[in-house]
Amino acid sequence: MRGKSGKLTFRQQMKLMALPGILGVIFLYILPGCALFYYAAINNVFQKRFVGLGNLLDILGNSYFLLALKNTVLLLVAALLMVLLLGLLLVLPDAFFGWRMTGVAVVLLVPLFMPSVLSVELLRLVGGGLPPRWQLLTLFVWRNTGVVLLFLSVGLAKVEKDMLEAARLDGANRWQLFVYMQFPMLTLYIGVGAVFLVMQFFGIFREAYLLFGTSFPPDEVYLLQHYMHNHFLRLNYPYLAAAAILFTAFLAGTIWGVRLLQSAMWHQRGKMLGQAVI
Amino acid sequence: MNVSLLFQQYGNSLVYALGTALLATLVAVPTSYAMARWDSVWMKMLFWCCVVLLFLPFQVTMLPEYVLLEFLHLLDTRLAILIPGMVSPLPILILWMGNKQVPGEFEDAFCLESGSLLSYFRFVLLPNLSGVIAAAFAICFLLNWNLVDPALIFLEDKGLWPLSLTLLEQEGTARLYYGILDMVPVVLLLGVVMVVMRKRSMK
Repeated sequence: MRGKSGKLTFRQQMKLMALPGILGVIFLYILPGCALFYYAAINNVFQKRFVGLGNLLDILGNSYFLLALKNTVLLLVAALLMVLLLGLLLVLPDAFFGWRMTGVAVVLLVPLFMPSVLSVELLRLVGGGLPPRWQLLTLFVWRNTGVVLLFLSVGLAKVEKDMLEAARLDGANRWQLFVYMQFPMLTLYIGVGAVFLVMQFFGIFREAYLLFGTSFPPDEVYLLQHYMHNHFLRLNYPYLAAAAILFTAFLAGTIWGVRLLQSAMWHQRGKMLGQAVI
Repeated sequence: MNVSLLFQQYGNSLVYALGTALLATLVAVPTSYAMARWDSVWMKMLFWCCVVLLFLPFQVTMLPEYVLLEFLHLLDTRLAILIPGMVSPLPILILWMGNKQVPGEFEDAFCLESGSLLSYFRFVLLPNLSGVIAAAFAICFLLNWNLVDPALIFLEDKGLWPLSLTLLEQEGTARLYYGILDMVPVVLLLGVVMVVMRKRSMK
């Protein structure tokens, strides 16, 4: 379908706009990503003998891979919980007394963007004696609380004041206002914060590398990122590729699961709302 | 301390951070617009690709990127950092959220007047999205300013290193000076963000 003067219609032009993104994703990620499947199926980069799923089974039985997997999951859950709880705690003064925390949040943003080397140095000064796992967690909390606090204060500002005022007139105290009105409204922003934190956690390799000065850290903090990095350095691409494929598959599966859960919850909520109306 | 090398590395850091942020935002503006408005399977696939890519650690994409850059003979050049950073999922998703906030009625009203998407961008979309675009640019800049992993793998020539990587090799007071130097643009940018936010909230 063409416009009057032979030009593209508005809708066609709109579809064309997707081109840079589509081409970019295909040529920068998907096509090179196929290399992973090639490397995952050969025995090593020199002989290039086809071994099928052999590498995948190998790493699944490898004690270091399992250790890395365990540590990654454990630290991810701990880091997420700690930052989100701290963020909620810091946003309480805003919720209860209306003290604006945006300025505090911007100040807390500085650690995130300061050079990792400096933040690691500061941690060594303050908490050099902590066990490795706690060092890493402290660093993560210190770097990421600012963003979560920023998200939460933005979310809190979006809660309508009239509604809170109405509830207060009906006799709700401040604690009830927070638990039953403000907190449920914040869940979306907590979700956004969690997404950001997961993204940041997978980038924690940099800090761990600087903190322990090597990509072979103590066993307690040996992460999947270390496992992959070290196999890259040893030119052991098949294991790296197999681990990368597993990681991506696991991640995609988790995202899919969260999405299903979310839509199921929406459905449930919709039903409940419907019943309330009836 | 080699001063000319230091300035070169400072320049490198600026090139990587500004260049990546600029390219990524330039790609993200049209892509996110199409993603928000065009309801199709392709856009859904692109969206979920972006979500997965957002979470993937560098160590997963490292090997494919290495293979690609080797194939293009771009290893150990500045483009080795700029090209993979060009399509970045974070600004695309941020701008997608921004685009969802722009009412579709604007587009319908504009279509009555003109059929040109470029003038729609120029007069309607970009003025409405300017804040989000600035935020996406600033976030990209700041995240790329603190660039370590890709530079460690893709660049061997010290003349191409960003300042953040050189910082690793310094000891004692030199490390402190390098660190302060490295913090300057970050503090400046955060200051600007704070002033802008203050002005907005006053309005």
